[in-house]
Amino acid sequence: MVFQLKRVIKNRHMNQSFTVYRSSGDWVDFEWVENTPEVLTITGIISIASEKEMENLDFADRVKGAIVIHSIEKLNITRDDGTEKGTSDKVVWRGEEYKVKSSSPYADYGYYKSIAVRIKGN
Amino acid sequence: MSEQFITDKQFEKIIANIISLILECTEEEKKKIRINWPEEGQPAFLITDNMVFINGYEVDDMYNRQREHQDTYETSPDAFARETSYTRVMLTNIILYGPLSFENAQKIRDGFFAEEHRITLAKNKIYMIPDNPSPKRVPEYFEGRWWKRYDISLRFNMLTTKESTIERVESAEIVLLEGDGGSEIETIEIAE
Repeated sequence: MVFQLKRVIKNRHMNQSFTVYRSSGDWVDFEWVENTPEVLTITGIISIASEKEMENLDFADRVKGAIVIHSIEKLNITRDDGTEKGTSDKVVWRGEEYKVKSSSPYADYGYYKSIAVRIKGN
Repeated sequence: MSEQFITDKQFEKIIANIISLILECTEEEKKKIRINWPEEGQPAFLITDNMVFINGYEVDDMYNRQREHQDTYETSPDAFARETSYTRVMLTNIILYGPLSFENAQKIRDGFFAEEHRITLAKNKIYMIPDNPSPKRVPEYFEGRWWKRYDISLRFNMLTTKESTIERVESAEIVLLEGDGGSEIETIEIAE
């Protein structure tokens, strides 16, 4: 039997709850139109994938960063499987919004690992 | 004549709509004609899907720089109505994927010459420049497979008209001075 790491993620001393905005949409008049996102509360372990970093651009200082999320529930990246379509989930963590860029399906071990990038820009 | 100004997005939609008519798309097939650069991104497609992607924007051209003004006096309001018109030269990039990308590229290239589509464009003051380059074959490599792709670029002249108001001169005061900055000889007031 495969060791289930979800027990670690479920550990209430380590995990935390965070808000996820799940998008769905369709093409209307040649444009992708998003519906009002579904608001979910998900539990998982969040740590830093890359620190907040400033880029000195000619027009502004742009700030970016990324977090890594270990969760029992799968976070979505942009998808169209015929029935369900939408862009990547957005995660709100410590008051800032991150968009899921990668998803590692370690479902066989009882969890998912996702990386989300900070989207605000400033 | 009224103001005439079409945004890039409106232009792309006019072109997309004509392409859907040329390709005789059903409502579901129309969803495979998509405008590029959506703010939040958009889901991708399969190698078996026949897709059309469109982007349009103004390009630099000698025509863009010529402006015409026409002033017409109006009694109410008591001013001149100025109409400024110029041509914007618009480029449309049409990117086709899928097993029928070659056939669809040919249909689109030929279809824009059809009278019905010329009339639709003319209603929006858009006129295709008939010097169309041929579709370009640009297969795209993605994760171990080559995806069929053809690109077409079409150019259009688009009339833009803007309206503004120019106040007319209602009165003037002319002062005659003696010598260089000398004393005033006479003041003439001209009014209606």
